[in-house]
Parts: sequence; C-alpha cells; structure tokens
Amino acid sequence: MEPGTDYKIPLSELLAILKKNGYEVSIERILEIQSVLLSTDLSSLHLSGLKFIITPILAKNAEDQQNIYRIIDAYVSEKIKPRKEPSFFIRWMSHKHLVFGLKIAGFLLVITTAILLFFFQKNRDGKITADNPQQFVPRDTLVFPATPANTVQQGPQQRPIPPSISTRLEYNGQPIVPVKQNIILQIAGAFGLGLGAILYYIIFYERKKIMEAKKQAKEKEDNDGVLNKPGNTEAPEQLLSAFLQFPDNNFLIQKTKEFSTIRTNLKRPALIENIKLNVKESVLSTTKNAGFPSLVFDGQWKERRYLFLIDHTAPDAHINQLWNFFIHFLESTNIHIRKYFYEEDARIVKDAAGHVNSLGDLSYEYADHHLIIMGDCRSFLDSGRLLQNDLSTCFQKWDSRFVITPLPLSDWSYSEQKLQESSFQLIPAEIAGIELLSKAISEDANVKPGILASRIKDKYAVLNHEFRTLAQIKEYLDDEILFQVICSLAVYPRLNWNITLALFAAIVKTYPEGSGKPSLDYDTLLKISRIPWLHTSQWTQSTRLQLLNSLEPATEIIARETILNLLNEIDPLVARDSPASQELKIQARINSFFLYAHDPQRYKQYADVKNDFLHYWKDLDEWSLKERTKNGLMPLNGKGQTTTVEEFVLQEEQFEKRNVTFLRIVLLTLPAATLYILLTLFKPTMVYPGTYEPVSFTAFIKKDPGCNKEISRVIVSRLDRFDTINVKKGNDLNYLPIEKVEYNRPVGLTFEFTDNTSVDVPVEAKDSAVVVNINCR
Amino acid sequence: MEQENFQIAFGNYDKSPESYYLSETNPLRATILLALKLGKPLLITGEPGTGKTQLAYWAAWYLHSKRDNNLTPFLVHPFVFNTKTGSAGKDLFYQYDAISHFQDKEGKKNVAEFISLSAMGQAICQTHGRDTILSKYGLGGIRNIDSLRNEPHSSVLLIDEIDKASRDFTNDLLNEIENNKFTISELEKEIVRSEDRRTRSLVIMTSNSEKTLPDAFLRRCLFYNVPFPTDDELLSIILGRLGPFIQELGRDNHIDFTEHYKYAIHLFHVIRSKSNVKPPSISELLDWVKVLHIEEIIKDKIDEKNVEYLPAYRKKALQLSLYTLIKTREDMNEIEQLLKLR
Repeated sequence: MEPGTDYKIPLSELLAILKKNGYEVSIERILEIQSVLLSTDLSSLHLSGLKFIITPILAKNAEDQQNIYRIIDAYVSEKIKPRKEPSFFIRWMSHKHLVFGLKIAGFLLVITTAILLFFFQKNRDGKITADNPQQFVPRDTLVFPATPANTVQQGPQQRPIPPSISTRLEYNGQPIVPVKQNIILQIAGAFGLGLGAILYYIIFYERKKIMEAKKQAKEKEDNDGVLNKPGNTEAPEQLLSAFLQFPDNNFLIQKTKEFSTIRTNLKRPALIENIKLNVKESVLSTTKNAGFPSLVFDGQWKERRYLFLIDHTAPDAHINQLWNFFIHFLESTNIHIRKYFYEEDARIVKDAAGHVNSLGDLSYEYADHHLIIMGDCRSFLDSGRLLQNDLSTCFQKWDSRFVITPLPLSDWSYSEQKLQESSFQLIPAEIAGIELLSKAISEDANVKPGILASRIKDKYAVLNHEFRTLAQIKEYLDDEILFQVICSLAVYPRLNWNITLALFAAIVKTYPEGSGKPSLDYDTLLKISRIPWLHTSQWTQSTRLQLLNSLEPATEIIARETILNLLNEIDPLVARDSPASQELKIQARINSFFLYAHDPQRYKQYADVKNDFLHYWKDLDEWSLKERTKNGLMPLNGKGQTTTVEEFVLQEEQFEKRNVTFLRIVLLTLPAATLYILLTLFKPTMVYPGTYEPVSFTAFIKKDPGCNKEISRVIVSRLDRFDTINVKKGNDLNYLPIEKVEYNRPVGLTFEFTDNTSVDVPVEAKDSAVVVNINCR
Repeated sequence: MEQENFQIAFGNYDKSPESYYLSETNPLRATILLALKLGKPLLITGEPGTGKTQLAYWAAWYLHSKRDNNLTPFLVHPFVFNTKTGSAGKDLFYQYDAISHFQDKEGKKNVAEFISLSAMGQAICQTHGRDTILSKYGLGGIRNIDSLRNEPHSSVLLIDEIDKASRDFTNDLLNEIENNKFTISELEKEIVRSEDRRTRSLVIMTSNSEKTLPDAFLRRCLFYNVPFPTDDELLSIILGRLGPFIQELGRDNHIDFTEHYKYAIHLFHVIRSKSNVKPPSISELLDWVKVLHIEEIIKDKIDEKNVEYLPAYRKKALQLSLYTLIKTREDMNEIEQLLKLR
C-alpha cells in the first residue's frame, strides 16, 4: 500500500477494547501501530496477522501477549463471522412442518399429473376412430330405422349363399389415421416400481444398519460409562474426575486503571536504611578516576518481595478464583511473589505444588517479605476474639502485614477491629482498597481508615442480606443485566469460574454500548463472588430452579450457545472414554437439545440430538432443570406453544414416523409416476412397439329397395372374436358401428337373411364409413 | 561408551543461523521487521534454552541475506553485549582498561590503546564505517577498531540477559539507545550515530524474567515472549539442527529418523512434565537426542510403556543419557521410577 492511502480497519474499536482491558493504548502507541500499518502491504496482511503487529507494541509480559492474542482473535472472528440473517424464503424453507407439507403437496401434484395424463391419454385413445369422423349422410337410399335386437357373441354358422344376392362396397368416409400403440404405462409401472423398490431397500436397509450401529454404540457407551447418572451434581469422590476443566477465561476480565497503579506501586523498590561501602568497587572507581577518591556504595534500593497467604477453604469458590486472577496478574508482571495456601488452620500452609509447610517456618524464611493475607481471618481469633497466641507469635515476625478480606466494609465488626488491633492493616477486597494497600506498601505507610471509607464507592453489605429468594438477589445486585448473568449460571449444573466469565462476557456483549451495562471487571466480579452460594461454590437445587425460572429465553439462548462453544473448545482435550468425556457429551446434548427444541429452524444442526435425548433425560439427575416446565427456553410444539420435553420428543417421534411412512410411499410410487409423466411427455421411440391402436368405423347398409329379403342378423368377424347383431323382424338395419378392430385388416360382415341365406362381405378397416350395397337379382 | 565416540564434537557447528528453525508463519519474523520499522528495541523473553540468543544471530544472518535498497547491508553477525551483574550503562559503549593504563608508568602509549569498543559502541561506529570513524573522530589506536568494516553497515545488536544487571542498568539502557551517541570521556570524544536513515541498528535484548523490569523500560520496548515450541516445531528443530551431527557421526545417514524423533519428543514431554525442579529445555533436548544417536538408542521405540522392556544394557544407556536432560537428583529419581529404569 502506498503511504497516505486510506485504509479501512476498525482499529479504533479494537484499540478501545484493548484499552478497556487495561492495556496502555496511548497516542504514541496508536501512532506506532498506524505507521506500521501504513508501511505494510495490507493486501498481504491477513486479519489474523494483525495481532502480530499490535501485540509486541502493547504487551509487557508473556501473559499480556497471550491475552492480547486472544482478545484480537475473538474480535476478528466476531467481525468476520457472517451476520447475515437467512432470507425469509430460506427460513421458511427450513420449517420442517412446512417442508413436510410441501413434500406432500409436491408428491400429490406428481401423482395427480400422472393420473390426469393417463385419463387424457385414454380418452384420446377412445376417439381415435378417425381424425374427424363425420356423420355419413345417405344420398341414394332410404333410411329405415333398424334397431339391433341384441348382440350375442357366437361363432359364424355356415349357411348357403343365395346366388340371387350381390354386394358392393363403397368407402365413403374419411380415411382413418392410425395411432401407434404405446406401452408407457407398462414401462413406467415395471421400471418405476422396480426402481422404487431398490431405493426403498437401499435407504431403509442402510438406515436400519446405521440405527443399529448407533444403538449398539450407545449401549456400549452406557455400559462402559463410569458416570451412570448424567448431570450428577452431588460430586461424590469417584465423580470428581468427571468435572470438566474449562479454558482459562481470565483474559476477559477488564483491568481497570487501578491495576497498573498497583503494579507500579508494588514494583517500587524499597530503600535500604544502612547502606554499606563496596570496597572493591571503590578501589576500581578511584583508579579509573586517576586516583581521585570515588566511593561506591552497595545498592541503596532493594526489590520488594511479597508473601501471600490465601484462604483455600473453598478452592473453587469464585472469590478464590478472583484472587487467583489477581495474584496471577502480579506474577505476570514479574513482581517477586511467594504464595501459600491455608484452610481452617493457618498454622499449616501448602505451596502451589501441595507441599506442606508450617507458618512458623515461613515466618523465618520470608521475614523480609511483605505479608498479605487474603481471607477474612476470623478463624485466627480465639473464643475471646483475640488473635491466637501461637499465630500472633508467628505473625509478629513480619513488620509489614496486611489482610485483604472478602467482607465488604459495611460488614466489618468487632472481629475486624480486633484484627486491626493485632497490627494487621485490614482492607476490603475492592480494587480501590488494594490500590490503597499498594500505595501504603510503596510508601512504607499505613492505610488510613478515613481514606479507605471514601475510596470505596459502592458500599453494600452481605452478611445481613438475605439471599433466599430471587427478589433478594436482584435487590443485592441492583442491575437487571447482572441479574440475568447470575440466572444464566444455572444453565450449567455446576458453578464454574471460567463459565461465569464466558457467560458474563457473552451476555453483556449483546447489550449496546451506553446502555448502562455492567463491566466485566474486578469489582463487579467481587460483588458477584460475595453472594454466599457463589462464595462457597455450592448451591441448592431450589436456588437453581428459581434462577432458571427467571432466565429470559434470549439470555438462555446466549448462555447455551456459549456453553456449547466452551464444550466444543475443550472436546479435543478431554480423554476419550473418561468420565469427563461422558459429562461433556451429556452437557453438549442437553444444550443442543434445548436450543433445537426451542427453535428447530435456527438450530437445525442439532436435530440429531432429539433421537437419544430422552434416554439421557430420563436418567438425568438435574432435578431443577427437569422441574422447570414453563419458563425460559422450553421446547415448542408445531403451533409454537410451550411443551414438556417428553411431549416434544413424542411429537418429534410421531412426526418422524409420518415422515418415514411418507418416504416409503414416495419411494414406491414416485419413480413410477414420474417415469410415466416423462414418457408421456417426451414419448421416446422405445414406448412404441410397432402396432396400432384399435380403430372403429361405421358400416352403412344399403339394401336394394326391390329386394324383399329381410336381414335377420349380422355377424361381425374379427381375428379374435365374433359379434352377432340380431335384427328384429320388421325392422331394417341401416348402419352398423364396428369398434376396436385392427387397422387396415379385413373385418368379415356376414349378413343372414330370414330365408336362411347369407352373404359374406369382407370390409377393410381403413375408412371411417363404408357403404355396403346389397342387391337382389 | 566406545572410545571413538569421544571424537564426536559437541561444537557450535549446528548452532549456525542457517540451522535455526523459524517457520514462515512464526510471529517472530513479523516482530523483528516491526522493530526495524519502528526503530525500537525488541525485548525477547522465554524459558531458558528456547533460542532467544540464537534468534539475534539468525536475525543478523536473515537481514544480511535480504538485501534492501532502503537499507545499507546488515552485518552477518550481531554485536553482542553479555550483561553482567555489575554492568553499567557506559559499559555498553566502551571499556577502559584503567589498570593497564596505570601500569603504563612511562606514558608511552596513547590513551586510546586502553580503550576497546563494546557492542553498542561498535554498532554506532559501524553506522559510519571504520574509515569515517578514523578520519572524522580520530579514534585510531582503539583496541578493536579493526573489527569494524570500512563502509557503513546496518547491524544487529544483542544485549543478552539484561535481567542479570541491576535495575539502574535497564533504566539507563534505553536512554543510551535513544540518545544515539556516546562520549569517550578519556579521549574527550563524542561519537554520534550516522544520520543516514538507511543505516539501522536493530537492538535485541533477551531476558529470562528472573528479575523485575521497570514499567518505563517495558513501555519503550517491543515485547515478544517465545512460547515453548509445538511438537511439529520441535521435530523441525531436531531435523534441522541434527543433520550436520549425523553426517559427522558417519553412520545412519540414509535412515529417516522422523518417527524415532517423535517417540523421543513424546518421552521428552513426559520427562518435562515430571521435572519439578528444572524442566529440560530445547537445547537439552538436542543434546539428549545426540546421545541417543551415539548410543543408538534412538532406533528403539522409546516411550514410557516400552522402556522397561528394553534389554538391560540399553536401559542403562538410556538412564545415563537422561543426565543431559535432568539436572537434579529429585527429578532423576522421579523419572527413573516412572520409566522403571531401576
């Protein structure tokens, strides 16, 4: 790209996101990025390569690099994701009931066309006597009414031919245009039905085989599976390994400006009070200065070091995960940190690898560190609310000791007062509080209570707040979007920090900027983490049920999609045939099913799930999910009304059956009907075997008026049959319709008279009318 | 180990920049060019043994091979400054041998003869070329002035392991880089880098993240953390680096060891995951694979399940080879137990 050319990359939006996530996006950095982009051939730069330009400029450590990569990747994939809504026609076409109706209509149309064509063809065949058969108008004979008495089919009798009678034929009508005989119906019937039968066999036999294989696989899976109760939330010992490990989503947390202040403050070196003369360096320096004394002292500053003691009573609790995030942030900036964990008894601590140590040992080993305890520390106090003696002895080894308590400032009581009296500097876990703590450390000063109270803006209490009902939770959160985020946690059967982060980010993203939506930052997460059941990472099924019932369908869709994405992300990492793998499958099925059941058109890709879902649903141990029958993302029937899962599955099965039956009928009849239509329309030569359709004509009988012989009957002889027409006495026979005889073949007309004489007249079927003149001599 | 195996040199021949593996899509390529465009120093971090130092050699070689009309040619080798705990900002430019000067009682020698240019001093002087430096600044007599090329050249400057030095060093470092000049107070000469924008110095700094680097310093650098390579990358590294070694070994030249290396990489990962004290790095992996070649264990299917079924003498050889990977008794015990080598 030439310098100065405009380029359109929504950099400002991306950079704003990065800035929001706590990265230093100054004007200088923006100019650097712009200048690199301007001097880069953008046509060769793939969007995924954008991160390799931006990250080195903004990142300051390995974690920053990783996080910026993820943020840019997420941003780019979001931007290049096709957003176009399917057209009305496509949406309409994806509605399975409509499609089924269309299929039936199409099928009926084909069949009806075939039938109509058949009758049309048949009627046409009936009229092929002549192209334009015309009524014969006798010109030189009188016409007497003659009604054939009856028609008896019998063989001709040999009678004497009177020598006094002569006959003469006059072909007097229109020449018959013969129509070739076709075998369309026969071909279409034979081949169409044969083809249908083959297709039927292939489709249904293969289908049956696949179904059986699936069934066997499922049975094997059920037999092999350690986790027989899907969705078990009780977490017994043997099921612990079934819990899925979700990818680290801490990068989604926005690092507010306090983070950089904390980092800078904690990095600030400490002044060494008694500095020593470095003799060796002083001699060297003096030599260099041509003998002028030049004293060199050892460094006046030393790096600050920190020892973190973290309450690990509930390691999976959200508050612990939040603190892990915070400590990881400090570690990533290369601040010198050692961390240990304690549970009920702070005398015994463990490091990250699980190695046990005593607090006493730590107090000697890390005495020069700043001690920061993360926990409420109430267990440090004895029954008289005094710091336990042995603990007090250990803690006194540290000159600088702080407590970051999860308790909000408003909940501080006598216990906190006692801890403060034991020379602990106590601060609440809000980021503003930690910022004050870092400032106090960097200045070797104390946190002033007055400043602390003024800096913590969002003051709320937890201890006296009831969290039994949703209304109380809502009141505590004081934010409808945040409340929906909390409700969405109930979509997954277990509380999981990484799921919380993913859901929070996904839900908040759907709200427009400036709508007052909450930020996914430390303080918001702290507020959430302080909810007792999130604090302990345990909830009751009734709580979950309430949350599910309050979940908006639109939010639930986002939640289930997000969880499905997370499950897909970890799928390749989960060992096959492990309990975790089974848990993954179950959760994937549940979420896919609910999405599909709610909107079968939009989530058509999950349609397969319904086939074996009921099997899992019956065994599912998620009482709250099963109890929720009306609210939220429930299955819908064909009329768009909410149904239960069982009803939905039953309806789907019935629909499936109808579909299968229809398919069978179609397979057996459609090829024949289609073939018939096609052959009828295109009439290939193969359908004409070379013979003609039978023809008909009328024989007019013209008897000499002077002849007093009376015709008693006429025998019409064809190749394969004889028709006898009896004439009543006194009546005269004027014409004789002769039907369905072979074209251009002689038809024998035998006239028998009352005097037992007869005459044979061979007539050729080639004209629509023939006059038979009978003369008596 | 057989006598003749000692003839095999574990030299630097396989550490030549040509053997350094950097895939076409590796972000490091883009980052190096980014640093060159912006004229900012590039800070490279990563586990020890991931090839951070080698990267500078590769960058010099790569930029030397890619001639560009907008830049004067790069030198094929970088100027290297190995940071020490007592390094100061001035040390980047030149060293003054005060002791030798003091010993020169008679004062026959020129002061310049006690001065040698350090890496950054060399890089700045090289922007002019030796001829200009001698004529314009009169620096004749400086100990290593002959190391400079006559004509101006761009160059790569490697400041290795900056986290070894004191905090003051890192603070001074960027000022010195940005000033683009230095003064040799002993000679009362100020040398300013060439104003020709075509002549560049790409500064690459490495850090093992052992010490905190000040925020202000980080802000003024480009940053790249070298992640541990993927299996495919490891395989490419082994194939690229071990070619000369196998040739020198003089046997098995015709064998394709790709599958065998995959087993070795898998076992390497197992060992790495179980090493609590010091996980082995890539350079240690390369040494280990060399030993596997020498002892011909590479031809065996070495994974954690099969190792215990190897003949006793091969198990012993494998056990000994592990000392190239594992550096502590604690880790060794754990690995021997895992692989049932005892």
